Amino acid sequence: MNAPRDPDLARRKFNDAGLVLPIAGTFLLMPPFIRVFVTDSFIFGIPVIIVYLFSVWFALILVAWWLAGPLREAMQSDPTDTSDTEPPAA
Amino acid sequence: MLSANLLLFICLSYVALLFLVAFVVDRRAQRDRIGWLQSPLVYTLSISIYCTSWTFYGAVGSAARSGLEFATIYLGPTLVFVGWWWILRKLVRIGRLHRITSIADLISSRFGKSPTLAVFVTLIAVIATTPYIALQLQSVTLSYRVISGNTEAAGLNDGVTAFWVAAGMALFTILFGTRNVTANERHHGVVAAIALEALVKLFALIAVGLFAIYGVAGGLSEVFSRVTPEMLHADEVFGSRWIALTFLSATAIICLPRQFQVTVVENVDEKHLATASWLFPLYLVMLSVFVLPIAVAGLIQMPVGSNPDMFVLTLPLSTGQEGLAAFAFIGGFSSATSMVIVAAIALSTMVSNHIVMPVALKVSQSDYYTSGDVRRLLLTSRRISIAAILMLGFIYFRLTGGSEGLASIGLIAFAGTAQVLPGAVGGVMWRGATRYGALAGLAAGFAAWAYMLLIPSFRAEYAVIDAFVALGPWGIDMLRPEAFLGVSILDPLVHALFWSLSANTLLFVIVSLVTNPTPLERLQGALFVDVFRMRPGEPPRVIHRTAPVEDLFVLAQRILGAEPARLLFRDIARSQGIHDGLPNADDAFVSRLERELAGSVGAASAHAMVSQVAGGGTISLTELMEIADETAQILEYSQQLTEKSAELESTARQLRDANTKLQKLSAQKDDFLSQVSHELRTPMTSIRSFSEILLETPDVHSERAQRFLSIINEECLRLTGLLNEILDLSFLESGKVSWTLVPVDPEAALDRALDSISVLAEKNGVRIDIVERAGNVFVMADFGRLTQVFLNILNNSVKYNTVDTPRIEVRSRLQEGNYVVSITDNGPGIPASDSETIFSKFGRGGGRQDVGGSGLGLAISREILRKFEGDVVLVADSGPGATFEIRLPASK
Repeated sequence: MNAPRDPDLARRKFNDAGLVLPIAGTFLLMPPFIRVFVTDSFIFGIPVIIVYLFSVWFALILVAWWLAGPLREAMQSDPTDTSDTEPPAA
Repeated sequence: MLSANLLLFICLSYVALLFLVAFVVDRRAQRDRIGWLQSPLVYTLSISIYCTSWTFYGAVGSAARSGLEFATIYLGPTLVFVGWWWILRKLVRIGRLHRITSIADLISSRFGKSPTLAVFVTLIAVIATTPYIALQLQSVTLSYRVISGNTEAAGLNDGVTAFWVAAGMALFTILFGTRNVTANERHHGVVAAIALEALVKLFALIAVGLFAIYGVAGGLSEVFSRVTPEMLHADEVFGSRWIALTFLSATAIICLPRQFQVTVVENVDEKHLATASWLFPLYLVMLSVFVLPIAVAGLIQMPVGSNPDMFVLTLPLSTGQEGLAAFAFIGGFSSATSMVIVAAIALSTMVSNHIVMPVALKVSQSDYYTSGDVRRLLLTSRRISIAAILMLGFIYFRLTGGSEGLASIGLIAFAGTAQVLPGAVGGVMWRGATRYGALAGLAAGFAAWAYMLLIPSFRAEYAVIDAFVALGPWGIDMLRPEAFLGVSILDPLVHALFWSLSANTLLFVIVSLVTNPTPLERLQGALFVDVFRMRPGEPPRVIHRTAPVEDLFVLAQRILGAEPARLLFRDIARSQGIHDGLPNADDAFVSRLERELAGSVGAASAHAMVSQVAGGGTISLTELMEIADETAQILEYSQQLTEKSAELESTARQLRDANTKLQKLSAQKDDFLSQVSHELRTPMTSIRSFSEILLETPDVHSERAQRFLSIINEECLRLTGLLNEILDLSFLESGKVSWTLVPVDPEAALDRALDSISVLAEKNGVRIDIVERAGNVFVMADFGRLTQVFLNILNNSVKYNTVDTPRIEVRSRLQEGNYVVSITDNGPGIPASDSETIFSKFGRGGGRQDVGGSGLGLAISREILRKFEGDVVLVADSGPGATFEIRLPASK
């Protein structure tokens, strides 16, 4: 009765995705996994390892961009607005 | 080569531009017109001070020497930022809530506002940053020498250049970084200037990168066809050093004082972090993409043995692109200056808040808050600190002679700041961490770092140190700084990192486990670790303190300045409901004041000051313990409570709604019952009275008796009819009716009804005129029920028509897909106010009771028609009589 439309559940899923993303990135970019792509071959005239490294890098940014919206929503609105007590410059 | 004078002119113009930007923005900030400055874009650009001249020049050098290794320095921050939900979010929230002013303040505040820890972290930060500032000075002088074609003969030597660069930066930082002691240490002018510099360095590197690809190498595929596996060092680069460097850079983006300054302290809106989480990694990858092509093009183009750290400059110069070279020089200059400025601000804040303030408190212990201006003391100490820090960097630069590759100095500095990590991250994640644990970990980590990395970094200049590093102290082999206890890790950086962070973390955890936190530590620990469980608004207030409010006001004036202090006190007074005069010095007020002051002088100093005024020493230990425990428990349960209460609230709302509905229904039912009894009583009364007459007078004339009996019979028939209609209505309303609707000819039903009514009409002298007929049409209905509806309405028209020549007009037609029958009489009509009540039960028009009829006919008719998806209405203003209109959707 509460499955896919439950906003709480959706928010939790985005939370979890936000937590998993750096772990996935670490796995993909660290040895031993990254060594899989250390070869002598080329893709479009570019060494495979360079293509791999920058593809993962851009993919991480893309996913982070995709998650930023929902996570921003999930953040509670400011508890204390600090600017109200900021004194004018001396 | 560019002439020295031209170069100087370009530099000075650029610096003048920066001053102008900072000045204009600061002016606008005073008038609160800086909306665009508080955008996530500016926030992200200011974070990019991470990319110093080390990135600008050193990354290319690193790529030329060690291939892909350069990428680790940007992968670490990328992982931290895309994983902002883990730690950055928490740090920013804590920073905003507790008015944290620096990384030292964070750690000190977390561990019971400990001044010792604050001093210690400040010292580590200063020591670790000094080489880094020296690195920036070195890169500026080196690049100046390269681009102006080594003009030492022209009277400018490195020392002089470096000195003037340092002096200029100090001037800028003092002018725009220490204008005031603001509540949250925000510097709008500086942030605007470094955001501009961030753009300049990005575009400069991209320009050189594009030139390297298309101007030198002749296309992208050309560049990469020259890339050999040896050049990438792909085989050996993905080892322990890859992991260590990524980890180190990830640590640096959190712990470097300047990064903490821009990410946490200068943050104006937590939500900006969401944008920075992808935009900052994008900035990093944009820079990194061009590093490798520049390195490759440099290796192709430049003669063997030229310094790869300067490829960014020498590559355009060697092909005569002097304009591009000048742009690249400005880019490098930008990256160096922005880093130095922010680092100097961050460090000077730490030095003045954590070293100068406590000393000043000690010196004038008795009466510091009524004598002397704390603001002036803070500002002066900050200005002096800035000059001193830049001087230190300059001295370091002169001492080491700037001999090393840029990257290695940077890494030493990173490893030094990494020692702060266990205390900072452990502190905000683990409630059990204690002050002694943090102190022990820091001390061990710092000692190991100094012994294994910092001291060996001087080995090239001093023979003593070289011997010390090669043979170990007093020739003890086991203690050699680069192979401690015989552990042979080839890379000295990985070796030092392994030992320092292991010792640091281990001692932090073990000492935390064996020592007990003070009550204030426990309280702060709960507030920091559970920062997201707190309700928005005030953090739970805590210590019971009282103080003469005048003393607190004097204290606030000394630190915040007269006007801001007055505004703050007025705000608080208003929130307490006092519109005139000073607020009550209750616990919440004292806690809030302490937090506000912490935004200027740091948590430890603010705590010390307020405690002295408010008599912090008089709290009993048990009381504090109770508070700390209570706070922790409250935090733990508050979230569950919030969820539960929301649930309860919604249930209660539903119950309330249901109850209202029930009450309404019950009232309707009572109403109906009383009306039914009323309707039944009239015939019953007459039946009873006539039957009584018949019983009590035995000699009633038989003809009269006959009449009485026929009246009784008539009334009985009326009763039965009424009861039948009530049953019919309740049956209709119960919703249990399931007629099978079939296409019927409504005209036939109307004919049948007209036939039935003709007898009654004739009897009452009513003439029925059929004016218009619809002809061939079908509706979805039940024939018998439809006839009943027509009959009901015709019946009403006949019965209620009391004029002398009663007449009824019947029209049926098709209108917009509906079959419409209108029945018009020339009777007395129905007032508009009754147009709806006549359709309710027993709702006779005009309150007329005189005509026979149950008063249920129209209610039943409407109920039936609605089952057919039609309706019956009284047409408004239809002349002297009344017109009823029956509508049914015609079926196709």
